[in-house]
Amino acid sequence: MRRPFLSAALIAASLFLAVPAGAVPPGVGECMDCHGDKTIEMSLPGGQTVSLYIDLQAYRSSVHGGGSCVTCHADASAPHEKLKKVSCDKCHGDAGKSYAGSAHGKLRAKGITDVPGCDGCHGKHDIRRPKDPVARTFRLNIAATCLRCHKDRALEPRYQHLPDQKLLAAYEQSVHGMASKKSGLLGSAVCVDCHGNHAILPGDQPRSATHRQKIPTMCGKCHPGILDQYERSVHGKGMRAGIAESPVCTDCHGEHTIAKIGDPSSSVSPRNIPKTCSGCHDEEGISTRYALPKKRFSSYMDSFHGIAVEYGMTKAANCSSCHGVHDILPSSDPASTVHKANIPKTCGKCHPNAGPNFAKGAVHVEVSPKKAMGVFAVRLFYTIFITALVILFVLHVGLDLYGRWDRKRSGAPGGKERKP
Amino acid sequence: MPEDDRKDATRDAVEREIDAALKEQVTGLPPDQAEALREKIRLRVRKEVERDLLARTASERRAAARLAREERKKEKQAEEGELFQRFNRNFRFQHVVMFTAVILLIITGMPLKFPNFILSRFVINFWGGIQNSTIVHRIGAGMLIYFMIHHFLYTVLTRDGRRDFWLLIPKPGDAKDIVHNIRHFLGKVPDKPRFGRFSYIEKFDYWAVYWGCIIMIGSGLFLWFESIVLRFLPKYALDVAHEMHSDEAMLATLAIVIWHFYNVHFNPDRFPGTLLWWHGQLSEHEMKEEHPLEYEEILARRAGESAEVTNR
Repeated sequence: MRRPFLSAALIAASLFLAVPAGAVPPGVGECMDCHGDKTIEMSLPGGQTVSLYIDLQAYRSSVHGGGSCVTCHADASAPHEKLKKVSCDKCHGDAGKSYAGSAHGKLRAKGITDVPGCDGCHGKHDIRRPKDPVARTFRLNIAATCLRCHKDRALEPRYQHLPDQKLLAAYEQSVHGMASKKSGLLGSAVCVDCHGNHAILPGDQPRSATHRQKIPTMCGKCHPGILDQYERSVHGKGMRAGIAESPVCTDCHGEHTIAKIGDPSSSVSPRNIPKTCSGCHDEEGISTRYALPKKRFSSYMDSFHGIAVEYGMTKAANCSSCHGVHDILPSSDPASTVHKANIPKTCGKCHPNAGPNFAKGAVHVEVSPKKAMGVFAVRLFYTIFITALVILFVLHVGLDLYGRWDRKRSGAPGGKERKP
Repeated sequence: MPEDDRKDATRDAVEREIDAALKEQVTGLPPDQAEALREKIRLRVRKEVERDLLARTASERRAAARLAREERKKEKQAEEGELFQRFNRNFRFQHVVMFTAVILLIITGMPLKFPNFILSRFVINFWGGIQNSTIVHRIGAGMLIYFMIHHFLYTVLTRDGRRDFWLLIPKPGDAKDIVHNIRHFLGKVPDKPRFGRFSYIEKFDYWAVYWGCIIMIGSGLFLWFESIVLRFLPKYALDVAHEMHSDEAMLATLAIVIWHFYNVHFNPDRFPGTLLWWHGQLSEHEMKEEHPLEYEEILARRAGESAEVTNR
């Protein structure tokens, strides 16, 4: 009960003291006279209240803890009305500039306050270095910092262009998310590794770190060996040649949902690979545009390999078992795993002692007189044979039944007889 | 010999017991009737006891049991008409092996031909996944191969096998039977054709299995031992084998489901099936109805035999 009175007395006293002191700015201790009070509040026009309490200890142990309040709050005097917005640009000009060009910065410039400013990610008085394990921007804490907003369902309806919340939340279950969250690995990719930090932009903008053209290089920062293989593959070459339809890492692996090969939900698990590849290779437009062989998916799904994989026999060959993974090359390339000369070796991975005979005949069997005469002839023969036989069977059975019915109806001898 | 002494002692003990039991049973009956009954029971019981005592080895005991079964059967026949042994035990065993194999092969094979059919996944999962299902398919294949070898040896080595094989060869008479049967169905002729031991329906069934087994086992072995086959043949030969295996499977399944199932299960005379596959017997009535020529032949042969006996 005494405190408000005490505060008021202090404020009144400091008024008398401050005026003669003139231009001398208040020290941290003076600010804490008021802001050290846990009950100090400010009421907003909406009726809510905001605590104005500042944890001195948190401030002291922050990266700016050695300074004083007025470094940032230059217009602070004791007592004071609402202060001006703090700008970090004075010291962190570069960061401020890249932030201004980011998706967040642009929206903020329009006056939307939901989007994070500096404090949204870094905190206010308790800012710590990114290397500090308790910092909001510490590698292992970044996902939580970003997802604080990006998983917030209340925000979703307000911003049309916000990426799908479920997808972003899926990061936590992805191989990268699990590695950082569950295993605590610093090397695992967190949000900022792919999206950048201050200059975050949606992936469809050319300047974005996650633009298609930049994705292989971006993933290659951590996966350089795979980037090297990819660059030499037909997909990598296509991408570098500026063909936008040529797949980059994320087209096969997914983005936030990236999972290990062994995970059944992964788009590159043995079970899902055929569907992932056929996303492009079974598409009429793409096959025609790049003169790719057609019916790759259907002919695979007709083979025992395809059916066995569909039923969950993961040791059966999927697309990548034969064609390779990041180093896929067209069969015309002598270095390709599916080049005629390399077929025995490739098949030999599963079929012991595979010899040159494996290469005699198509692997993706298309049943047509031109492509596979033998199979076509057998199928044609059986189609005719089965049809003819079934017609004869049904006729015979039908006539037998008709005869029985007819004889029974007319009471003729030889009708259905019962045992005596 | 002590063994024989022991048996004699047992026999005497049994006889004493029989006498004691009979005394109680026959009191109250007139003396001549009592004597007749006494003699009848005495003979019957002694016969049983003697036979049992004489049986020295396991095989003898089994033979004795079989003899007893047959005697009982003969007694039954007096009531139900004579039973004709159509299929011997060996042949029935082959049939059981074959149909078990074929059922296993069909239910594990068809889901591979129709992976999108709604039940396929259920059937595969019934075995605990595709890995197990392929093993079951190979077990079925092994059984079918065994059946094929067994049947081949049966055909070559046994008298019944050789006789049946000759009788199963299609003859011009079968064509006549088909025409006759169709005319009968249409009501043009009142009587159905008079079949011998095997009608054209059964001949078709037999040769369909023969053809099916050769194609399925042949192409199946290609697929089973693909690495060995590909040492000698190009990949497209394997593709052809794969296609044949798949199409012939369809044909065999349809033949079984439509032709065989109708003729032995869904046909109104037979529905829902008989136990012929188990005991191998046909009643006199069924013989007259379905295999009249064979029936007459059997009777004629018997008449000839009894004539021989009387002539002797």
